[in-house]
Amino acid sequence: MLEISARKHLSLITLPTEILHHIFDSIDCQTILLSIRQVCSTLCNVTNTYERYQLDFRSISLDNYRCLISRFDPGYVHSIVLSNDFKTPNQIQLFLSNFNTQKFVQLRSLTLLEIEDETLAQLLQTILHCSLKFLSIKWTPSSTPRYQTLTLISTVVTHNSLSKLSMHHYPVDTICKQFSIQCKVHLTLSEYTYSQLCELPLLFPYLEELKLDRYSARPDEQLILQSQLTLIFQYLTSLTLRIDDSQWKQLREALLTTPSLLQLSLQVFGILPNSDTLQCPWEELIQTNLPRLTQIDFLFVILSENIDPNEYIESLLLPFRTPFWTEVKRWFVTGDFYSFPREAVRLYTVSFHNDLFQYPQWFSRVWQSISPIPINDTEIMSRIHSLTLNMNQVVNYFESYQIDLPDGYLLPNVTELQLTERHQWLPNSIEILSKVINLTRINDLLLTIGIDRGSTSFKITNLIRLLERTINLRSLDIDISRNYPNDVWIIAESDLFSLIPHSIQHLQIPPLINEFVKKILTELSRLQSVTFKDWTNFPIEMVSDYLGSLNKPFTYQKRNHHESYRTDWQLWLSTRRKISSEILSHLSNNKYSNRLF
Amino acid sequence: MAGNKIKLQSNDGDTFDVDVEIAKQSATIKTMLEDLGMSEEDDVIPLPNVNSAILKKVIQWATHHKDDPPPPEDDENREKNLSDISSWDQDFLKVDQGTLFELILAANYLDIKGLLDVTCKTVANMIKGRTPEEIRRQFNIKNDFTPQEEEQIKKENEWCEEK
Repeated sequence: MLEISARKHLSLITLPTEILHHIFDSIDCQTILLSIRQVCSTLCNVTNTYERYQLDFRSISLDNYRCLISRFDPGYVHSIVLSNDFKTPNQIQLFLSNFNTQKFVQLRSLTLLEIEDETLAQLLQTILHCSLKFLSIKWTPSSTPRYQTLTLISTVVTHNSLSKLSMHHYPVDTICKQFSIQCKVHLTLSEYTYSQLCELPLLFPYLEELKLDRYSARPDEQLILQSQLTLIFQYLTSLTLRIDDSQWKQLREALLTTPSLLQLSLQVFGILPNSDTLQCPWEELIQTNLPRLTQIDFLFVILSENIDPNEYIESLLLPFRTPFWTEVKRWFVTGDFYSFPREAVRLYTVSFHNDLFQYPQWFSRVWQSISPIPINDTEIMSRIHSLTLNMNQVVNYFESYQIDLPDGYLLPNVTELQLTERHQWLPNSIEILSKVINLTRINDLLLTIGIDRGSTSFKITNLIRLLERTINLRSLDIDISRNYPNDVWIIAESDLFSLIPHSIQHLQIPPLINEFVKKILTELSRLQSVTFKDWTNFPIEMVSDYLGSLNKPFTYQKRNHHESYRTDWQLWLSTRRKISSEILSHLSNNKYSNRLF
Repeated sequence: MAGNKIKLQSNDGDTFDVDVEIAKQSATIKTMLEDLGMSEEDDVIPLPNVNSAILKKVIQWATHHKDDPPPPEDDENREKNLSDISSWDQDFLKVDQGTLFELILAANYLDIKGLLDVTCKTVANMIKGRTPEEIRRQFNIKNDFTPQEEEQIKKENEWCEEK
């Protein structure tokens, strides 16, 4: 470490206030208000004069939320992120009950995640007098924006001279067609039709980013498609698209005539070997139609059987071996082939590597790349943080191919794991999994367990052994799946409860009898949120009385999933029992909040 | 003086020949040269708030970053994380705390936004997620709260999550 004779007595607390405030700009509000403020009187005073608080309340515990809300002046808040997701259910309503949002006069940025339309409308009415420049809204999937809300959004955009509006799950329907949003817009559409796409340039003349997920082709749109309409997105700089090949054929010409485009991310699935998608003259198309493009990421998944993979991949790579791709743009393309579980070739840009990782298919691939940079398996694997695994598939793979596992972990940095174990538990499962993944690094685990008559006890014992190794687990989501429609519920609730580590902070679990609901609420001492899934008649009154008898504050929300006809109940819980009258009065008596003490 | 170079003088008298374009990353120096009518032919630009060792480091940083695009003005919704400090900057800032604070003050005085941002982020990363006691230990800060204030803090924290 380099040492230079520094000015005497120079330390953190002797730095000018403006510098300390600049440092605070890079620190989360919990550290500023719960730690820095309590270090010494100087830093405490500096936190009081800080005027650019960025309140990001995603994943915050109810206890820390309650501590924070009395420690800042709403007039000193610059940005707010609120979320009603499963870790912080009903947070937005609680926030509205705690604050008069009109007092956030310096608010420039507001992000609202998983918000119901009704709550959004309440909030929008109060922020017209803020200095808002950026508004981001993600509705709950089951929430549909109403005319009133869209009017309010339009008013906020105009009144505040909003510079950017970001919207997820925005439905382009007949109501929306009455509003034209005159600011930069970032839009994510989870479902859309061609005619809706055609509406977008009128509704959002300054559309800058567009993410399209699920295209719905409609027979009555064939005529429009045949007329080869061109979509004119004058300001669109970023386009992200996931689409099936048959639909891509319909949209390709329309979407790839956007001269302003800087970034294109395209994933096309279900391509047949003779598809004209594979004949697309990309080089010519980019030079002619997309002259400003600086980044392209694509993935084409080609269904291919009975082919010579090396020869076929080489034929696919040939058009990308030109100086345009390898020297001018330096966009390098790779192709690989998997025979397991189904034969498929993938053609993709190198930047997609980390997202495409699939295990254990990775080991059985044939792989060719144009990239001049050697792509190191170890390096790719160390970058994988999120993984979906089928336990039986992994174990069968290793046993069938008799593969020796190397020392160390194949995937050392996985923190989010979705693990499926639907069938019989195989004896070596934990040993194999422990070598594939560093289980001690897992923070979030989704466990899908299949009911298998007669072997539940063995399976539970092994799952407990597995969970004992995930010592840093914070979030656990347990899903019980019936392997056959006539399977009955045979997993004992005591077994289910025994799976849950006592240090868990966020839990999602299927319905249980009341006795075990109470056990969850009392015996899991660090539990901050719990979701009781698929439980229409959840005993909220019983839970309310029970938590009230423990003096344990909580708030809750009911979530309906329209597509699956499922109802979840989500609770945001204090981990403490004792209650101070001051905080209680601060948090109670409000019409918005589902709070029970 | 060479055509495209200027001389910068530290508060302990050392002078450094620096490319004009590199020196102009400092808005303070740029203003001196452009708005205040100083020219490259003037003798030296005195920098009374920066010592020689720190000025040398600042020039080293500015030289490495001479081709960087200008930092964005609109930085709303930026993520508060370590990942936007390049590995070169992380290595460059492996210095003792006194030097780091001196660099911050120099970056502030010379108005070099990129250097100020990266040095402040480095200090921020030394603080993030720590308890008050850990921050005191990290920066050798004395707890000067009175017993009454301590009691008040304890009461305020009654509901905080345990770490």
